[in-house]
Amino acid sequence: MELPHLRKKLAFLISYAVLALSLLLLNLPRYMEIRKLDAKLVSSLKSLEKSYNEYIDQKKTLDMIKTRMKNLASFEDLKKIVPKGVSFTKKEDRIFVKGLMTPEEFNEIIDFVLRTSNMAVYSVDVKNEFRSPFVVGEDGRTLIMVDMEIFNPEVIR
Amino acid sequence: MEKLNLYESKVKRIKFKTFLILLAVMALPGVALRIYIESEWAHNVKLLSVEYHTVLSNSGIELHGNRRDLIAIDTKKREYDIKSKMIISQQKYLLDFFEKAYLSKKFFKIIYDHWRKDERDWAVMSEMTFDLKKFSLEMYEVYLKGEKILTSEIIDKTLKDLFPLSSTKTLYDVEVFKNMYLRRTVIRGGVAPSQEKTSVSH
Repeated sequence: MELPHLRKKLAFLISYAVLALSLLLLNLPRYMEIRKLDAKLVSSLKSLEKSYNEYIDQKKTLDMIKTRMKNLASFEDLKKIVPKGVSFTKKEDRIFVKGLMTPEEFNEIIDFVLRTSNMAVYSVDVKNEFRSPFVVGEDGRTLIMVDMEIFNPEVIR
Repeated sequence: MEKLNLYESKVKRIKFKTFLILLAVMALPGVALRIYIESEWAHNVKLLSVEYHTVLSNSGIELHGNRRDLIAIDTKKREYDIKSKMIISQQKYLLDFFEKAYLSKKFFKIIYDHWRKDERDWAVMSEMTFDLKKFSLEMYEVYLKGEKILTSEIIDKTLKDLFPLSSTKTLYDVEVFKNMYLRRTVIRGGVAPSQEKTSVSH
């Protein structure tokens, strides 16, 4: 075979190989992208798993805490035993009871709150209307002025 | 015999079919590599889906192996973080409520449990204030001489566990009838400053 002919063939083979290699190298960006995506995906999944497990743990703890509350009462339940004429309002996590009532009625409210596990008396101010325990009202009843703040169980869900 | 080249001026060309074959052969390694990379990636994504199956299925995420997966995972992760924070604050709120409820219930229980109703010690409460940090009780007691332990004394003694800074002040103690005395007492108490922030032992 003549030399120019051989050169031509060699040149053809080299350019053919270069082109084939170029096509092969065209996959490099995609390969790099996949590698990056893989690393990010694995770290994201690990982080998601951690957050998920923490959320489940916290939820379980909250449920466990909530199970301690067995005897539950509502704002409406308390309303039923508060005597008429006594101011009974709620604001955020507090129930305000204010007005004149008999000691028995006051005791009933306290007893009711003590029996529930989702209510508590946060503050109380009781004054005998007549400032003396031995003086009774005109109708024969002793009345006391009550100003109470009770925890509103509606905020616990 | 001598070899004669009758087409000396003829330019050599390849056939179209040959050209196509050469082109296919040239592209084959590249295409094959691409197929291998993609199938390997799909397999990898499948493995990740299996490995994190619980989290993914509970979060409603399906992996496709693209950037949208990262966005979906990140969004869900942030959602869990926010939910966890909310739950933690709810737990703190509940624990705070339990501490306050414990103190409040114990206070009223002590008063109600120790309120003596027998004839030897007739007690009436005329004033009561309570707000989780301090309390004040004002009471009148009518008792017979010789009665050693009075309601006010028992309440003061038992409330000391809850409110260490409690003290009793007798405003007066007078004989109103033969052997019968009237006593006016004020019991005041409060939690110690260090007790205000620490939890109450249950």
